[in-house]
Amino acid sequence: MTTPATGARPPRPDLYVVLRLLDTLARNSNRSSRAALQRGAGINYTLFVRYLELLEARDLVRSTNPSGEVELTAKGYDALQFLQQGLLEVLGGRADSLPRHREDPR
Amino acid sequence: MKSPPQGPTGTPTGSGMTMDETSTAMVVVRLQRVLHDLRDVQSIEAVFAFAVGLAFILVPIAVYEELPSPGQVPGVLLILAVALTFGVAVAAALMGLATRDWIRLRREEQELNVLGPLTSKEFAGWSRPRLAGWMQALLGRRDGIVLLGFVLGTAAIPLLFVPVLVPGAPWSSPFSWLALAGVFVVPEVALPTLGYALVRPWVARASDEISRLREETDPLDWFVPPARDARGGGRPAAPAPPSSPGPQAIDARLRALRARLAKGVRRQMLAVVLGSVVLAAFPIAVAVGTLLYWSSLGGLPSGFPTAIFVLALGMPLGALLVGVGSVLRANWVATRESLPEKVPGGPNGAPSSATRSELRAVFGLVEQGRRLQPWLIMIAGIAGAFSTGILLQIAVVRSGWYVGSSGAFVVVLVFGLVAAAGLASALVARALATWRYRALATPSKGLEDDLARLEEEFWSRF
Repeated sequence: MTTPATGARPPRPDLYVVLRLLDTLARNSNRSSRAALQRGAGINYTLFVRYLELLEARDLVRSTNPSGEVELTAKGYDALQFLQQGLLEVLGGRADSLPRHREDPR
Repeated sequence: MKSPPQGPTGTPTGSGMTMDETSTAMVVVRLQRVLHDLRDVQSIEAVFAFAVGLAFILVPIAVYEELPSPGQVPGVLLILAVALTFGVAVAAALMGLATRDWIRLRREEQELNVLGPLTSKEFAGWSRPRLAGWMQALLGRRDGIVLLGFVLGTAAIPLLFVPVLVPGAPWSSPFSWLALAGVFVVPEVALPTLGYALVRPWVARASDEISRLREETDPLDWFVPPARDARGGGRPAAPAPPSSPGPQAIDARLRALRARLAKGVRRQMLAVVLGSVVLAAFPIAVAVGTLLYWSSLGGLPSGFPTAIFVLALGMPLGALLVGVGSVLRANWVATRESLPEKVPGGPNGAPSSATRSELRAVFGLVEQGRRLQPWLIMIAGIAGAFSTGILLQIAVVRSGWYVGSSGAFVVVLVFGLVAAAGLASALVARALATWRYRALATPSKGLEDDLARLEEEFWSRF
């Protein structure tokens, strides 16, 4: 089900776009048509396809045949919760509870 | 693969923050970033407007050099003055460009953090740490650079004027020349320096107030998660904090925020106008100083066009009036916008769409100030360039070039050049200011670091 990574990953995976995609799916009973999902994400189709490939490669969503609908996976739901909670903590001024990322090698 | 738990459409998800609220929060946060960076732009804009204006003014002076000279202008002095002023302009331009690079690099660095470590190929050609460090050091001394630019720039103009304005000056004696130069240099250097020193605390106070606002007004404090999702089918809902504010509390916070924002914007506008006063004081001081000096020599030279002198004084005074009018308008806007008309509140304490409109209106007030400021700088630039140009006409008249129809042609030509240069410099300054605001509408460091950390964690986990 998962589309292999094509190397065409968006130049800057924007977490807010990812969040919008996952959230749109969650709002629609975890399943949506590609067109509705693109509208929900608010990005152009070319970029949408690249984001979709990225999310599929990471097993966050999967395309269902033959209808071509996109479905939120359990891992995608976990990712959505992680993003929502993380954004709430960061924007709510409680960023100290977030795990530290590794040091910048530069 | 197991499907995730189902939930009805529109239900607030796990964190209790719906997508609309997240989007609204990001809108507000982005506007707050603009607020935060406003103060970093002011000094740079002032230097740009001043230095670019001077550079354009010096173009017709270079033309003068090609015209028949009355034999009173020492060439070395003219070259020195031109070099000094252009040096200030170039330094200011470099500072602005380097600042832009520094901000761009910082933003790119944050974006690259999302993609993981840079490869050696990607890193090739980047001297990021060195440049960023250099710029940090330079920006740390920004105030000193601005002050130095004022002093050097204002000193260059009288150096040009003295040899032309003073008939029969005893050039053979350096001490006499210095004494004559001091008549012009002291007021022109001392006034802007003193004025800048007086204005700086106002600007800093207004900027600090806005910075405090940014720190204290966290928009997500208003986006209170529900205690429990009553409609949800199994999705966990974050517990509500014990101090969850209701609609009335949100309304009170909005009112307080609006009032404080209005106050901050008013202070900022006042500071900008005071800066315009300083700029206008420069040509006024030159005009008055010239008048006094000529009076001490026995009155104005014969054939001197009084109307030009009136214009030289009237232009900066007019700029002041326009500046004051702008402040009055800003006050009116601030007062109007500080009156909340809608009562916010939605289900579970979350803001309604009306509340979100309120938030946008509040920050729209700041946008008013943002749009107004470049215009004030433009007005000051035009006034300064025009009035200085008019004073150049006085110099032309006094030096004896204004003789017959050819002399009149020279005066008109030079006046046109200076006017065009002043307008061009003001337009350039305004374009630069607008461009700087756009470039600086980037995330502030603390918040962006947290977001970058979140992104890093997300991509490593998922």
